Amino acid sequence: MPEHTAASLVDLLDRVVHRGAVVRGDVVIALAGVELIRLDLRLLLIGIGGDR
Amino acid sequence: MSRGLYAYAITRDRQLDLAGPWLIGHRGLALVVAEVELDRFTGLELDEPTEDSPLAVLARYHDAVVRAVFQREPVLPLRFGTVLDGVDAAVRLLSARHEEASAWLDRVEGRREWGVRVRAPEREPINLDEMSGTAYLTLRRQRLNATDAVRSGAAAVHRALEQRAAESTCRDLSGDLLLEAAYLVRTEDEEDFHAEVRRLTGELGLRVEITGPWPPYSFTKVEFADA
Repeated sequence: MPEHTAASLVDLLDRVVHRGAVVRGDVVIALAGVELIRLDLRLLLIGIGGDR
Repeated sequence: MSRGLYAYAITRDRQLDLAGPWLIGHRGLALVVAEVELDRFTGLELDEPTEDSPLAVLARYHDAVVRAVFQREPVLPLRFGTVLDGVDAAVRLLSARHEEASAWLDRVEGRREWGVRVRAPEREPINLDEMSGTAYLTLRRQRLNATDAVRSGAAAVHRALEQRAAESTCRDLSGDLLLEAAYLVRTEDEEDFHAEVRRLTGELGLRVEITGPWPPYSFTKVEFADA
């Protein structure tokens, strides 16, 4: 079985920034900067490997 | 300076020493949180991300915290940049979404995510100078058939892996990718899963790239809305 190696940054960003459970509503503080990153990442991933 | 409670993940309320982040527990569930300055999340840039860019550093840290929990307990990773409005908000979230979050934790318990990318074998470039027209056409036909074969080979790899996984998800393809997928695999099935990847891609002469194990990032497609 392969050992875990340091994941490539794009694979990592795809998962950390782009996936995972989303929390919405009164409890969260909206961060405009983070929303922009999500949009940018989406474009980057479409460019690299399709809509992931 | 404005501060908030960064939330990394939902897990079960257990004693976890995370060297920094801490747990806010409520009825058996817990949010893994740390206090952050909101300024750190403005002006992040994605253009050609490098390991030392602020975004990469924050994302690596986020992943490290999620993994530290994941080593001990089932984890429901939250998306990067989830910042809560304080401890009361965290408890409200856990209280409002208790059943849903518990069900998701049960669903991912004892399972890890693996990424699999499959590409066609590399081929010699065609040298037209040394080739007759007929020979060229024959080679072209052979290659088209080979392309069909590797495509159906990649589909067969996915079918075989899907059967050895609890869940799977395929990403859209581009470039020379024949398969780009993530699989959520029970730990007791991992050996079999990886043996099958090696066997099939070896038999079919496909190039394969495996990433993982990951916490179940690609398998927690849930929105805790209006908590």
